[in-house]
Amino acid sequence: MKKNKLLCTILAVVITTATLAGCSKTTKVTDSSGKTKLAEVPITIYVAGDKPKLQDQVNQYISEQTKSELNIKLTTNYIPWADYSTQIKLKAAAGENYDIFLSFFGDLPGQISRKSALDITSLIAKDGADLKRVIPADLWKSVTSTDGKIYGIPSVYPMTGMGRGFLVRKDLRVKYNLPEITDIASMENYFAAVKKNDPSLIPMLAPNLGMIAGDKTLIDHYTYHFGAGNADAAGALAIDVTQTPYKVVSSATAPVDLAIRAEDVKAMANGWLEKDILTDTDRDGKFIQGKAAAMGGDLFNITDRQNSLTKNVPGAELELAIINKDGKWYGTDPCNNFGVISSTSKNPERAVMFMNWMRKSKDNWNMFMLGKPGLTYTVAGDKVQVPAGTAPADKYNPCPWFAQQTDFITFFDTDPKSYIDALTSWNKLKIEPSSLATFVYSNKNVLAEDAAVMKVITEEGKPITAGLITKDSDIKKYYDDLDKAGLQKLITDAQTQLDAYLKTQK
Amino acid sequence: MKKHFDLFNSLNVIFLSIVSMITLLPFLLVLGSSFSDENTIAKYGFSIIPRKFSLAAYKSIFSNVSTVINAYKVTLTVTIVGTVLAIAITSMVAYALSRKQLRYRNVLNLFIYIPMVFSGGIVPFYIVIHKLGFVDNIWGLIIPMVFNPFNFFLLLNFFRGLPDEIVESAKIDGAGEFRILLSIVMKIALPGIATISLFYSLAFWNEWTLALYLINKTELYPLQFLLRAIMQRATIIAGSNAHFTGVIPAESVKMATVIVTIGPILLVYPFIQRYFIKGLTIGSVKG
Amino acid sequence: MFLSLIKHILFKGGVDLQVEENIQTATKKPLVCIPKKRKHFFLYEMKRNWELYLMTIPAVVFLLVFSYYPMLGIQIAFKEYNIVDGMWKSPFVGLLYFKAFIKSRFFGQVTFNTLYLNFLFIVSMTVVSLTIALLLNEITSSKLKKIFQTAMFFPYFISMIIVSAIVYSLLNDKYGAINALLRSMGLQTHVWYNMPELWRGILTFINTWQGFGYTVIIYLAVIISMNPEIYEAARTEGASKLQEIFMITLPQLIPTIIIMTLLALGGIFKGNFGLIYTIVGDNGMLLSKTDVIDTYVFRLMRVDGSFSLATAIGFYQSILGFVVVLTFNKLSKLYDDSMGLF
Repeated sequence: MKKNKLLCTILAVVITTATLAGCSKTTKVTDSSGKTKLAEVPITIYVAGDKPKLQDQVNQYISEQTKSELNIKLTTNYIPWADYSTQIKLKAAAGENYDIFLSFFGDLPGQISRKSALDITSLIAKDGADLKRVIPADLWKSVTSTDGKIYGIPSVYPMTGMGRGFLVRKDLRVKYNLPEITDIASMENYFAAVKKNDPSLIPMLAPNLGMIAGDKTLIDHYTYHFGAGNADAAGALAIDVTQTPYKVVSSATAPVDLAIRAEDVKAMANGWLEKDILTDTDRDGKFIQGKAAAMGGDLFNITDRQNSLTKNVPGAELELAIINKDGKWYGTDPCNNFGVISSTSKNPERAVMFMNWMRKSKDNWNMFMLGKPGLTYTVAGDKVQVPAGTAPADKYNPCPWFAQQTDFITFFDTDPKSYIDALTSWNKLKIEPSSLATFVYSNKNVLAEDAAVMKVITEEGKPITAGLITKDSDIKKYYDDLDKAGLQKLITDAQTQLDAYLKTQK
Repeated sequence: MKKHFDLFNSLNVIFLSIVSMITLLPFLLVLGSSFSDENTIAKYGFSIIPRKFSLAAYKSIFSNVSTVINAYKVTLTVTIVGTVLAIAITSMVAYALSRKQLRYRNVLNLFIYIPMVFSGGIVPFYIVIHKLGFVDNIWGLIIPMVFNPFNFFLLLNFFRGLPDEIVESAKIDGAGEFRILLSIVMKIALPGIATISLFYSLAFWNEWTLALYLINKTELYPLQFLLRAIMQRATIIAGSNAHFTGVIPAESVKMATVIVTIGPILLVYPFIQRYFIKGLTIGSVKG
Repeated sequence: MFLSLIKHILFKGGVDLQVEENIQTATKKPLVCIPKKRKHFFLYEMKRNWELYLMTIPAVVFLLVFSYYPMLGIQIAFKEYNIVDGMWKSPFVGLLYFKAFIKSRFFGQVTFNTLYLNFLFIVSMTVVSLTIALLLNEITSSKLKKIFQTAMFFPYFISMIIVSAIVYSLLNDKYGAINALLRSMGLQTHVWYNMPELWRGILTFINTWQGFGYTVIIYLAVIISMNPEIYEAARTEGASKLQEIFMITLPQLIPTIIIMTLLALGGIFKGNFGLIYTIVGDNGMLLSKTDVIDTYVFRLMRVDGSFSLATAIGFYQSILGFVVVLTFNKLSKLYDDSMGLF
């Protein structure tokens, strides 16, 4: 083992000296004909999920196909979802040399301040022409810091109002002779029908009925919540998007939240929600076993749940119910997935070139996302198929989120119609832009108060919102406890940050 | 007198049987569910005797037989090598620090104790194991675990309780410390050694975080890491904005992962048990 | 702290009069001099026991590499860590992260929960394990003994996720086994997951259930190594079983009990995050009784887990735990000097 190490070091030194001697800083070599040639470099990507069985072969295929254009040796490594965020931070801290990694809206500010995300402004300007072309301008805002530096490459996928939809058992709805669910009334009718006709089922598996926020009775006070990607994970703070100038208020007393709470109380009283709703360890499991009639989820959940459901409950069909589809859609949700270049990367320019190459055309993109024709997929008309004889568990299923581009997506012939329809309709939405989509709140100045507020919300707020606690005295105590925990300080701090941010957006 | 004793014995057996039921029943539940057809679990919940027998869960885990067999190989190697090394290191230092003649023994005890309470956190540990070159290296699964202060203190306590006469008489006969340790102490302290061997091997067997930190090559995935990945596919991270795609395995598969882990241990454990039977050590002490 | 330890040892081992006068006056114990060798006490000790010290080297090196060197990382608790500046050069922020936790309104409640829950865990585990080890030792049939011992070990292998699933399958309101049983008997069901007062007990039970097999083995190993001659003598004098246990076995078990308790006390501020979070999760209804320091901080860290914050809290927990252990170790040494950890 020691000998190997020594050999490797010697080789490394020789190669480095050779390359340095022969190349310019950007590892490009001018060969005899005067054309610039690239030296081969390894490019390592870290994403979340489980490594598909054929990932290595696909990587090799890509490396071969792009030899003249990129000349890279591609490696894709996977980290389980649950461990991803911590692990990727650790790897950066340990100085591991990887190039591209999947990042999320909530993690990016931390990565910028910890300097693990590389500033790629100049690299994008030089090698990112196709990226600029296919990624809409407003998405770039979510990866650009206030001083104009770009720190990541946004993914393109529907992200607006994903919480406005939820998964419904279409077969049951049809059985009860009910029309499609489009508003609160039809939703309630469905739940009531489930309770009456199939009392052994759970009508709705969700922590609360937040989807009603899109209903036309509430849409005029559409509320943006801090959290889920923002520092205040408990969502203590809210802003009514329809009122300008934006004012930060406590979500506990915001009109939309109060309406959701009232609806939950009603649902809990009618038995539409589980009584021990707060401890739900396996909603997916229950749903795909056919124990529930509806569940929270968005269009990206459809395919997997449908496939699992069909195995357990023959004849079960899923649809995505959307509340107030034709109403206004406020673009307050951030772009949540990016491909980020690591500051520990040895070849950032080549990494950007790779990302750019992927977005250059659908065919390029498919080389990663679909894999190698014949090996991981076969063409079937305008759709694709898993090659015959492949076990379902071996389907080539890469993590697309670091470079997602939904207009490039090719559907599998096994994809449920509901998914295809949902994706198509989401791509066509008319969205009201809002600068809140790229606002990041940092709780650094108020850590103690935020910790206390989060506890109050988790301990008292969530049970109240879920409809488990309804006594007025308890609700008053909740408001008092929020004040005592320091909510006002949080609000003032957030308002200050928001105002400063909005100024830069003008 | 004898009657009293018999009553006590019978009550004792009954009581311990009840206790064993409390520990066994959940396990039997897991065992039964692992052999259950998934749909019956969905309808009727977990059961000790499967309502409808099915090997589907095991087929799913072993679907990629080579990966699983490989993981067993890795874990087995790591466990055996690791435990042997650990016993060597731990018994040496525990023996040394159990000898009253060692003036600095309390300082060293404190030195060993402090890491049990103080830790720099995962970041520095991670950096250290990376810098030591343990990435994608089987030694990375072994070396960071060859010494555990908890097991050390257990063995220390054990060695402290050994009769001094034996050691003294051996010294008079001119034996060096190493010789005393190997030929005498290890034998009379067998229950203690057996105990920490068990603990160390269990630790190696169940370990997965080191693999998470260090291993990217699928050939080096240890068993627990593989099984955990299988289990996790079912756990959707609530509130995450990252969307999960993939096959959601059944409840029965989750149960089967437990059986797959514990299976080998159950086969080995009876062999280790004889060290816990009274009488084995008495002879050597007397002699 | 360390300084006084060094003084203590140097003093006990014999010391140069002129060099250590202040120790003399401070401790007022008579001096023990080893005239010729005073100045080279350390070397004398090394020469005398070189084999034994040699035996300690692998363990010492291991700890230096894997524990003490990484311990330097504790400094990031006081810094605003970023990977470019690394541990050493990141900007200093002092007690910012400590204050974030301590100043927080629920610091007291959460710390109390941590201590109380851990106290329950330790007491329950000790009492249960001891009792069962003693009882197991009295079983005459070695076959039965083996069976019981093996049975007790099973829970250790069941990972927390599965335990949580089993608990859920029992206590779930709609489909849980317990409620189903109650319904079939015509009794009233309860929403177990919404009743906080039960959960300290439930968590303690689960913790004990999972770990007692392990601890029983430790006590059992010590019991079977005890000299049988004493028992024979006691029996000839007509001692009853109970007397045997309380007068002979238990006293000999005290050093082990003390060591096990001391080892457990070191973590008394750390509260078993894995167990609590997997079983209770974010169920707000149960938080008042089960929220510990680690789960409280976890919520803050979930969004942007700052390593500095994690290290600061960890350090805070370590210091407190260490103080507790030092105190109890000292107490145990007062009882009998050969006991304790160090």
